[in-house]
Amino acid sequence: MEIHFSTILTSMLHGLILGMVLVIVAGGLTIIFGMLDVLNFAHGSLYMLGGYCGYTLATWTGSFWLALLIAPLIVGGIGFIIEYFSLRPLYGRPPLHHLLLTFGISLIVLNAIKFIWGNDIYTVSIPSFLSGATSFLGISYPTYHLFVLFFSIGMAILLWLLISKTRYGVAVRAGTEDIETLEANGIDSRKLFTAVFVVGSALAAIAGAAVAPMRTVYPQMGIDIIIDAFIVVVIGGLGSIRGAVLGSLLLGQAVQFGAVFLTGFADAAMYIVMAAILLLKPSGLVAETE
Amino acid sequence: MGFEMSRKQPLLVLLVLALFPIGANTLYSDFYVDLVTKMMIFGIALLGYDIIAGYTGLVSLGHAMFFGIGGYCAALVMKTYSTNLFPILGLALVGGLIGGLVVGYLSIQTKGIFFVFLTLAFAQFFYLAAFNLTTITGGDNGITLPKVTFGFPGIWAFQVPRPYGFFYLTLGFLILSYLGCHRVISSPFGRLLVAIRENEERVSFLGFNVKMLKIKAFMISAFLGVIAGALFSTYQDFVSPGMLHWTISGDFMLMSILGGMGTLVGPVLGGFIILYIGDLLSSWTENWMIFIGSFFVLAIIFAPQGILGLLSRMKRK
Repeated sequence: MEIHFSTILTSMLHGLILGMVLVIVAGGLTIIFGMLDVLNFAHGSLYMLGGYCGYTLATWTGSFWLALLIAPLIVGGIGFIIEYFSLRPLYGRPPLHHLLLTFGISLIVLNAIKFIWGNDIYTVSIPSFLSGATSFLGISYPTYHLFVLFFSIGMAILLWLLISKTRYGVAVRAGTEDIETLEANGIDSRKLFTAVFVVGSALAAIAGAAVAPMRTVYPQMGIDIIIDAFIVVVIGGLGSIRGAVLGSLLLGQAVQFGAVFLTGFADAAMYIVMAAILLLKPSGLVAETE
Repeated sequence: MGFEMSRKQPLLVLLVLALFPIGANTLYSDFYVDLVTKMMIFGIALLGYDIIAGYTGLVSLGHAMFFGIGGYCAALVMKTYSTNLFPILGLALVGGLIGGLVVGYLSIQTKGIFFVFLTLAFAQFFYLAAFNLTTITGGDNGITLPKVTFGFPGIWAFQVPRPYGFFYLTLGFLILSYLGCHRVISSPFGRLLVAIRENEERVSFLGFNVKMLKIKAFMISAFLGVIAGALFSTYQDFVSPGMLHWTISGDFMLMSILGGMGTLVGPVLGGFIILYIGDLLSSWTENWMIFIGSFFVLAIIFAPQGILGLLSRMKRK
């Protein structure tokens, strides 16, 4: 098999886009875990809900952009309900309980989605000025995929600014370290928990709605993304945002190069990477500093 | 987990089960003999699951991988060698040994929520393999199997009669599995597993090799999982990636927790109840898991010890 430069470039771009979308999903997962100590199994379901809501809103309103704006608000609202009514009574219990609880919630959301939308696969049409392909460096690449790349980079930068430059970000970072001290400084940690969970949910939904035109919307999408996001977390190290970014980008490349070299069973590549990391560095590439 | 059962009660339940087919076609339709057979097959896997999740405290969300390995090993033997149950179980156990050692060794490097996700990821690996390696597994279409036979290969063998023959065959395996698991948990090894669940550091300070103990527990659950999987696929005469689907792993977890983990009887009871509810509701809606999911969420919030935990709490009052 002869491998051309253009194949490698296309593959790297595919991998980069996959990785950047994962940054948004795994980033939300990581922030929620860092703050609330909850590894949210339902995170994939919220991503999925973002995709389905985005599809329906785009069909109703005829505007993809309106859908991209409203879907995260709806899912954020559902995130609020989940946090307020089911996670709150559980704070202070072992993290395993949170995981089991959110597993139950993911089953409810999955079956509710199948109840409303059925088992069909839906395509979301690409806004007209982003359809077609763009040519550069000797390759022709779908314009919408490039949009998703820049959009997710933009979201990641926005998230980074929010965490590192604003007062809310300071509170979130402080809460990740020591929740008692934060409360002693007069910050209501309950409200902060809710806010973080809602923002994380909305982020998942943004990712789900943004990738819908290129990946379609289907009932397996939730479990697919949550497993990817978790593998990212294993690779990068749980609780570390830098680790999540690094893990996402690495996984994106592994999967795409897997698709080139391991035709037929591309996903094997990411499990190989994960098993290697587990054996060589069980705490992940960027271990949480105590 | 606190619910101590006398040794006689479970045997009484098994006696009731043994008499169950007598009522078929008179008290209830023999469809229920079929349902109870499936319940008992799940029961075998759930007994094994309880050793790792309930007693050792390592909750797995990938138990379907052993169910599926058992199923595909059965298919492999039937396609190439014999329809006899014994070589089928033999290869299934070899598959469980290899799969269990590799996945077990990697997974027990972690614990708690990591272990949950890691086992899920490995099970998904097997699912994707079964789905994608179409030349061996038939992909999404699965493999249709011939009827399973019982006896000594080449000397004396007969087709297992359905539904009653398979019912008693499964019951026999369930009884053996229960007695085996009961033995394990009453042994010093079983006490060590509980000690690991309660305080891992202390066990390792006492000089025990915690990882080795965990792998042994994982292997027991793997062996019972492949046996259940081989029985399930030979009973259905069919194996497909559906057996490896994450929702099956989720079912094992839900059944165990709702029934009451760390009691052996609880998970089996949970399996019986959820399969029965699923059968009732599935005629009404395909998405009946929405109710089980809601029930499970309420259970985690209000009764994390499951049904048996609730019963023992009521008893104490």
